[in-house]
This record gives sequence, C-alpha cells and structure tokens, in this order.
Amino acid sequence: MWFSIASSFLPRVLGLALLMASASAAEPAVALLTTGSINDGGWSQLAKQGLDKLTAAGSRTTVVQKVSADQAGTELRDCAADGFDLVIAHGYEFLNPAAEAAKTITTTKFAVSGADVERPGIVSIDFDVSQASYQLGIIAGTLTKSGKLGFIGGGAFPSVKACYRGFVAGAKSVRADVTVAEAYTSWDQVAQNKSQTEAFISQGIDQIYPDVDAAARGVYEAIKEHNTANPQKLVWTYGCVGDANANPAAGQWTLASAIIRLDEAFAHVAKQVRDKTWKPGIVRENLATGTCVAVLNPVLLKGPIDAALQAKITAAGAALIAGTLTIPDERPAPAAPAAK
Amino acid sequence: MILKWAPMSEAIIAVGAATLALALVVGGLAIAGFSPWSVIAVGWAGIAGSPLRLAICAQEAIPLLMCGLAATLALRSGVLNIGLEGQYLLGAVAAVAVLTLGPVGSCLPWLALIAGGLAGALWCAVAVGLERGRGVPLVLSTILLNVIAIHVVGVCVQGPLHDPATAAPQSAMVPDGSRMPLLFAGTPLHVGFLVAVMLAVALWLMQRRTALGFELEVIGLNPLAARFAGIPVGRRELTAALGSGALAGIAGAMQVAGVTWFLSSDVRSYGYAGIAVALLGRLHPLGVIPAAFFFSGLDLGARQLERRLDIPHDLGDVTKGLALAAVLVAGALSRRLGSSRPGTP
Amino acid sequence: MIRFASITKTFSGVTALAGVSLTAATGTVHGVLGENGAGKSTLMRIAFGLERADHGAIEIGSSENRTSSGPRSPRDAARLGLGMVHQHFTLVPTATVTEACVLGASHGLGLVDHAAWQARIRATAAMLQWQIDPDARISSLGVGQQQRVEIIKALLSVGSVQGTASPFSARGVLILDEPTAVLTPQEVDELLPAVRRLAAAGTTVLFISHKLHEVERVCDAVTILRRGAVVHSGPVAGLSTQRMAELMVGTTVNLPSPARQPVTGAPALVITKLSERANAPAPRLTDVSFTVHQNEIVAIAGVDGNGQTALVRCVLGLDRADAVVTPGIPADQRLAGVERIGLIPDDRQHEALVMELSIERNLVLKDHHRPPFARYGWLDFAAWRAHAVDLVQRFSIRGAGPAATVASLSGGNQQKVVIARELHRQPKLIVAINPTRGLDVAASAEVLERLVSARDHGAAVLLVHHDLDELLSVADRVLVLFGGRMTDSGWPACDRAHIGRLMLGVA
Repeated sequence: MWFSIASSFLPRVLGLALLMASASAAEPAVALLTTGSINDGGWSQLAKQGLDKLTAAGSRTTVVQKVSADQAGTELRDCAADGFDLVIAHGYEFLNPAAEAAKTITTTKFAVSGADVERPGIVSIDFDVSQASYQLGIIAGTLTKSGKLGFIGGGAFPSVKACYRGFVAGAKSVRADVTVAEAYTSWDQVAQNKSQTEAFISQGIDQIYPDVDAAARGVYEAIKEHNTANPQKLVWTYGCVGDANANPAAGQWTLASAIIRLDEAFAHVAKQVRDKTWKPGIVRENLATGTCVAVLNPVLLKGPIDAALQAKITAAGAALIAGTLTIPDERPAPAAPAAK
Repeated sequence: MILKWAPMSEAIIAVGAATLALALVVGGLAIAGFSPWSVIAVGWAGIAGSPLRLAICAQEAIPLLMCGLAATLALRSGVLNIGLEGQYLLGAVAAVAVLTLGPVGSCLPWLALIAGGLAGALWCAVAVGLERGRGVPLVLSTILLNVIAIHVVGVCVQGPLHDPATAAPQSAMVPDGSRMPLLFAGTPLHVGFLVAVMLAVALWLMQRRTALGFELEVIGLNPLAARFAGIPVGRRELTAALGSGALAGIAGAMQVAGVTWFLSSDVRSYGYAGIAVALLGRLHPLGVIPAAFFFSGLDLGARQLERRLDIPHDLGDVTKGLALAAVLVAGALSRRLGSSRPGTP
Repeated sequence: MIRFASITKTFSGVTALAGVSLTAATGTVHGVLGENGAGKSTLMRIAFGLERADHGAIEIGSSENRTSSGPRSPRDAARLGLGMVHQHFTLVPTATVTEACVLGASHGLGLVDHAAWQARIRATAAMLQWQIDPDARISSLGVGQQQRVEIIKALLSVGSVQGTASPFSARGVLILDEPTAVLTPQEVDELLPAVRRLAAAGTTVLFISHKLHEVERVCDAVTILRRGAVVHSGPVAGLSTQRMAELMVGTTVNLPSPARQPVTGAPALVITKLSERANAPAPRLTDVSFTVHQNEIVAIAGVDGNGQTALVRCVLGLDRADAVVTPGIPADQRLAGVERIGLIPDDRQHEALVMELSIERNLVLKDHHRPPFARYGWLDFAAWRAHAVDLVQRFSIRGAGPAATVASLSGGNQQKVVIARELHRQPKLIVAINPTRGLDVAASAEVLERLVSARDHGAAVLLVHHDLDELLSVADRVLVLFGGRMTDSGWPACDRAHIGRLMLGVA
C-alpha cells in the first residue's frame, strides 16, 4: 500500500516544485477551500477541476478539502500566511469566516463561491442555474408522455427552489397542463434519493430533474433499473451543477444538464486579481455570463432532442439573456423559514 | 496513593500508545519515500511553528478538551453517554440564540455558556428520561438523539435563528461586542481555554476529593455494591449524566461564542472525538488535557503536511485511530497483568 | 454408563468434593441428591468439562473412555458422549429451534444441512413423544417447551460430535441439572415420563434434584451427597422420602447451642403478613410473619430459591414493603442511614465490595459522606486512614495494609472487611446471608463468632444460611422458608431431621 502511495506522491511533489519554479509572476497564487472531499463526484470535485484549469494556466495552487465552518477561519488565515493572493472558499458555509478573515487580512483576497449575499471586503459569487433549468424544462415539457414531471432537491434552499421554478416555467411554456412534483431529500444519501425516484416513477412521472449533487447516483440507478425492465415506458432525466450527460448508470437516458462552469467563474475572479481590477461585491453568474448553461446530451441529439426542439431551446436562451423572458421570482421573504 | 488509578502507569500507557502511533505513521511515510525528518519538521511547524500556530492548536483543543471531560465524567460513573455529539450541538444552538437574538454586551458570552450547558444537560435528560421511563438503553437513545440534534440545528438555522441577509441555512453573526474575549490579541485563542482547563482541574478535584466523586467512582466500578451501600445510584447517575451533557453543551457554546461566531447546518461536532480523547486520556480529567492537545495537534500537523508535502491529511485521523487502538489494547493488557499479580501494595 | 471414581476437588483450600464415587448403569435414571453446597454442581461441572478434578477419574460409556480428572472441555465431554441441560437455559431467544440445535453442535468448517437437522429434531422429538416445531422461535415457546429444546439440543450435540446419526447411542449420558426447578406441576408431569423414555432408549440420565418425590417417581437409583462426600448410594426402591431427607441433611443429633437467657430484647425487625404481589414470580412470599428481637439470632433455613431473596430485599428496603417494620430505622435509611442495618450480603464480591478499590475505601463506604470522613462533601483522607488502621487491627484483616486493593485479599479477609464495615458501628439489626459461603473452616468459625458476639452485645441478627449445621450451631430460633411460606420449626425443641423435612416440604 505504501509503495503505491509513494509512486503516486513522488511525482506530485516533484511536479509541485517544478510548477512553483515555472509559475509566472503575473498569475496569482490561488488556494481553494472545499467543504467536501475533492473526490466526492460533485460540488467539491467540480471546484477542484476548476482549480486545475488555473494550475494549467500557470498559477500556484493548493486545495484544502473537508473544511468545516469551524475550521474555516484557521484555514483561511493559514492560506493568507502562505502567501496566496486569492482564496476561493467554495461554499456558502465559508461566507462568515471569510468576511471575518477579510477584516484583518488585506494582502489576500477572498472569494466565496455559492454565496448569495454581499459582505464587506470579499467577493461573493452567486450562481443562478434557474435559466438553464428553464431550458431543461422546455425539453421535459415537450417530451413527457404522461404530463407528469418530477423535481428532487437536496434541500429546500432558495438556489434549489430557483432551479425548480425555472424547470416548471420552461415546461409550462411548451405544455400548460404539466404538473411538476417536488421533493427535497439530501445531498449525500444515495439510497434516499433512489427511493424517492422510485416513488416518483410509480406515480407515472416520466421526467425527473435531480438537483442533489453527488447523491444523484441514486436517482440514475433507479431510472436505469426501471428503464431496463420497462423499455417501452422510458423515464428520462437530467443533470444539475455537474455535467451528468455521460453518467455511467443512466447516461443514455439523461437528456441534458444545467451546469455551473466553475472553471470559468474561478478564472473570472483570478483574472480580476491578476489585473488588479478586483473589488469586493457580489458577482452574479448566470446564462448571460456563460457560466450557468444547459448542455444537451450529444448522443441524444439525433433522437429525442430533434432540431425543432433544439431551436426552441436556443430561442428561449436568447430571450432569457435579452431579458425579454424572465422566470417568476418567488423568492420568499428573507426571514421566512424554508421548511425542509 | 489514595486514588487507586495508578496515574503514573496510566500516563506511560497513553504516551507510549501515542508515540507508537506516530512512529508507525511516520515510518510508513518513510517507506513511501518521504524523509521522516521533513515529515516531522513540517508537521511540527504546523503545530508550533509560530506563536500563532500554537495558539490555534490550543484553540482547537478547547472543544476536544471539554467533550473529553464530559466523556470522562460519564464513563467513570458507568454512564454510557454516547450523545455528546448532540449535546454539543444543542449547546451551540442555545448559545447562538442568546448571542444573536439577545442584546449586545460583554456578559453575553458567559450567559451563552450557561444557556449552552443547560441545553446540553436537557438533551441528555431526554435520554435519561427515555431510559427510566421507557427502558430505552442510554447508548441507543443518545446515539439517536445525536441524529435528531443535527436536524434541530438544521431547522433552527433555517427558522428562528436564520440570518435574514442570506438564503443559506445559517445564523446571523454574533456581534463583536458579544464574543468571548481573546486571551492574546492577534491570536484566535479565547478565554474559554482557561475556563476549560479550570473545569478539568475542578472535575479532578471533584472526583478525587468529594463524597460525590467517591460515590460516582463506586457506581462506575460496581453499581450493585453502591446500591447495597445505600448510595442513591439513580440520582447520582442522573447527576453524572446531566453534568456530562452540560459540559458538552458548554463546549458547543464556547465554540460559537469564541471561534465560529455563527452556526450553520454544516456545523462540526466534537462529541465522538471527545470520547476518543477521554479514552486516550485514560479517563483522567488531567490526562484529557494532553490528549486533547494531541488530537488538535495531529489535525493541524496533518493539514500542514497535506499542503506542503501532498500527504493526505486523513493520515492524522489514522494516527488518532492507531493511538486509540494501542491505548485500549495496552489498557486491557495491563489490567490482565495486574489481575494475575494480586497483592500490589 | 457413567462412573465417577474417587473424585476430589478443592477450591482455595475448601474441599468441595472428597473422594466421590458414583456409578450410573446404562439405560437407568440415576438421581443425585444433596443440599445446596453439598457438591452436586461441582461434580456435574467436572463431568461436563467445565472444571477439572484434582484427583480421580471419569469413565463414560466404557472403560476405553476413561479420563483422569474428567473431560477437558464441554466439547470433549460431548465427544465422550455426555450432554448437559443446565438449570438456566442457554438458548438464543431470537433463534429458531433448528438454529438453536445447530448452534449447540459442532460441525467444524462444514456447511449446515438445515433439512437434515430438522429431520433429526423431528425424529428425536417423536421418540420422546413430544410435539416440536423445528421452525418455531425460541422466544415464542413456553418454559417447558424451551426445556425440551434444551434436551434435544444436548442429545443432538452428543450425536453430532460422535458422528452418529441417532442421538440415543448406548454410550450416551445426559445430565439434567434441577430440570423441574422452573416447571409448573403439569410440565413436571410431562417431563418425567419423557425422562423414562430416554432411559428406555438406552441413554443414561443423571437427574440432579432436591425434590424427593420426583426422585422417587423417576429414578432407578440415587446417590446422596452431603458436604462433598457420598452418604448413600443405592436403588430408590425401598428408600422412603423421609429417609432420603434424613440422609441429605444428616442425622447427627446436634445439641442445641449453649443455654441462653430467654429472649428479652425489644423487637428490632417486625414482619406482619408479608405477601408479594399476586403476579410475582414463584415462589411468591405468602403471609410471612415473624419478629427478630435484640439479643437473638433468628435463622431462616431453606433450600435456595424458596423466597429468601425477596424476603431479604423487603427487609433491606430495596423493595417497598409496608409489612416490614424496623423500629428506629426508616425504610429508606436501612442501608446507609445513621441507624442503618448491618448487612452481610450473599455475594460479597458483587454486592458488598468494590474489588478494584483499596481496603480503606471499602471500609469507609457507607460512612464516607459523614463526619469525620467528610465535611460539607469534602473528603478527609487522614480520617479514612485512621479508621482503616483501627478496623484492620480490631477485625484482624490480614493483607498488605489499608491501601491494598480488596481484590488482593483472600476470601476470608474480604469477608472480614465486610464484617468490619458493617459491625463496627454496633448496629441494632444485622442481616447476614450465607456469610460463610466459600470460606474455609477457620474463617467460617470466625465469621459465626462475630455474629454471636454481636448478638451478645445486644444486636438482633437475621441469619439466612444454606449450611444447616452452621446455622443450627448459632441460631436461637429457626424458621423455615418453603415455597414462599414460613414455618417456625420450634427449634431448639425439635431435632434437625424435622427441620430437614420442613425444608424439603415433606413434613
């Protein structure tokens, strides 16, 4: 076991040294804090992939994974002490610790990705996937046979609710009589999401949009089991945040994914630091910025997603960007509790 | 001499186990091609490389120490309180409620500690009530209440304690004026550290020098003999359970009042870690202090190793596990050797 | 056939078995009778491989199966052809009957042929004319049914280890340890014919009991043990239950204890019509009334399990009982109040002492929270040490000093720690339960002397004791508990055989 670790570490250690030597003075050194493991197959892993793009572009980078809100203050301070120019704290959980750190640390810039509020001294990056979800809704509304759609969220957070609203609005825009069942499960319980999916399928739902991070594996497995057993009554699904179009369980039944291109978002803030155009505030990433977009499953473009449907999706995207089409904002009054 | 816990040999067991675990892990890294000296140097620098890092190490030891004391109090009395995790969380919730909903003031953090202690004790009382009233074993009920506590936190940070400024499930920040005062300016170490050390000494004196401590020790060793000696076993066990819950609750309150200054659904609890710390500290209130530092130091050192040498920081947890396994095995062996050799004065 | 040849066993100086020889012929039911502590259990534990004899040999089935000092383990015993049904069942409640039997057998690393086991269970049950569902859960079975499963399990375990298909090999020996203790009379009536059928099928049965009429009904021959030695061995026919009882408790005419002044003290324990709840487990205490005065030792004789435990718990205030009055001691203060009862419990290691703690700490237990040992909850260890030094000397506790753990002491000195703690305050009422259990002769005598001396200094002593000889040597009055009911034997105006008959319910 140790030998295998050795063989995988040694080149990395050497490579790190080489990278540090070759890092261009212009590219900022970037540290990434993640809440989960960088192998979680979801939110944290996507961030690591985004960071890898910066590494490839010549930045000195490091990643600190599995950081809880309790430890975040220490880790942020540590990264600053290590001379990183920018710390991307990947998760709303880091908002308060980052704002506290920014009070005393001026040499290092802090960006919190996934945060929806402004705090002095830091950049909050807010991702709005509702528009891409609208485009997914158009597909679902067009392709559903039963007229019954399902949405599964990992938690009833506003960002998740926004995806739901976008999906509903998109579906109703092509077929007014669709119904969309919504359920909120968990970000990490694969089995729970699987059983929720099975429940949806048994209700006759044939389009299921999961926004449950890596636990979507449970959704896809349930769909695979159903579709393998009932090839004449297929259930279709989607991806959210990450690109699930090639997921091993149900890739062939995954029509499209509403993705967040974290690499783009990270590159934006890194560029601001490099160009010294960095200023605290909130950065809103959405369809227009090219960061939160719908990606159609390329293998299904000749099948269910025909040219006419593709045209509809494109047109809606243009209208959303132009502002001629808006998703009804039902964001509840901030203080109201969001029941789980 | 009076206290028949033979603290010296206990300390040797614990230190030996910790050393063995460290040696195994560093040795393994050496086989994997890392220079042991650089591993030790980098790890040590992560723990004590600067006064700031030392302060961080002490700060991270606080919740471990508090939960370790809570576990010591319960386990020494034969009360299997596995619910420190939940009691800690409830303490944190109560403290955040006091600190963010109440007025601002320098006495607030102390009120928050009291509230946290009460909440932790109350959460433990639920488990004791289930045991007394319904016959649910404490081990089970406390574990299940841990799960419920996580959801209580989730509900609170989305409901009554939710920060209206954000959609994220988290509480508002504790205002500057209501935070635990810092021990040294420029470091994150707050005065809760002194409180925790004083509580350790107080618990030690309680166990060693008071009738209550003696009765709890007797109950822990032989509850039947305690009953036949007229000790109100049920009431004393309740005292130990509530005290243990209160200590865990204070730990949670200290963490939000002195370190995080807010609560989110992603909160980390130190309850299970506290049980491990207590076992490594050989269930001695003063032994728990170095054990807590060992754990927090391993965390810090391992993270430094990950950042500098790309060694996964999970090796820190591996080291903790090895130390714990070694200390338990050594403890069992020494008991066996001790029992085969009666008549030790 | 099973033959014990001159089995001797001592436990730390106490002789449990002194050259016991016993032969049970093939296909017979052989009763083994004796009081508690007579050595029955030790003998059977040696036969089953749970203990090793110091001397002697056991032969099971035939002379080639002769092992000196007994089988090495229960598995070894099964290989030799011996199975045992314990008084306390050893079944897993959640298992099925078949699973329980499979668990009891040994099959190396092989797979379990479930169907074959079910067939074997059915066949065995059929031979004994029992109805057993092999798929029933143990927890769903009544006590009598569970015992049948235990018997089948024991038979099959022997068969499986020996590799024979039939559980009734001619060499098979089955030990039934007090099999009727937990049964209702109806269940007893069903069990005894099955035992006869077992014998008829060729199994040798050792039937341990102290219920004389059952022995009379089911056994071909009987061996009676008393104080670790065989006092009688022979056919049951022609032996009356009266005679058996006399043999069990001994016929030596003990003179009553030295003449004593008539009882004059005030009542220290008054029990008036004490009865347990109607749904209490048998034997239920029923209308127990007696008084213990100061300056007297009232002894309760009886075979274990006839209500002694419940009686003692009521006296100590562990169970609420308004029928029990201890003048001057409130019920909740009986154990640790200032005027507390001096208690010498049955199991000193579990009920009286904390083995891991020092002599000093055990001696102060019960007084640790009162001055001079503690003030305002703060302990004064100097007072503890002085107290311990004083008691160690007064009660001649021999060990490595007050700081040594109680675990390091011999049994007799452990009991002295208990007695020192309980008697040094000269309590008005002393409750002693089997105070000499496990002690050698000298230590036993010392314990009894302490009780007599306490009595002479005015204490009221309630002595619950399993050893009739010791009990009679110190008792002023002897009451007998049988089946939860109490009878005054009239001692010392009666002989010990009368007490023996009362204890066994044959008077």
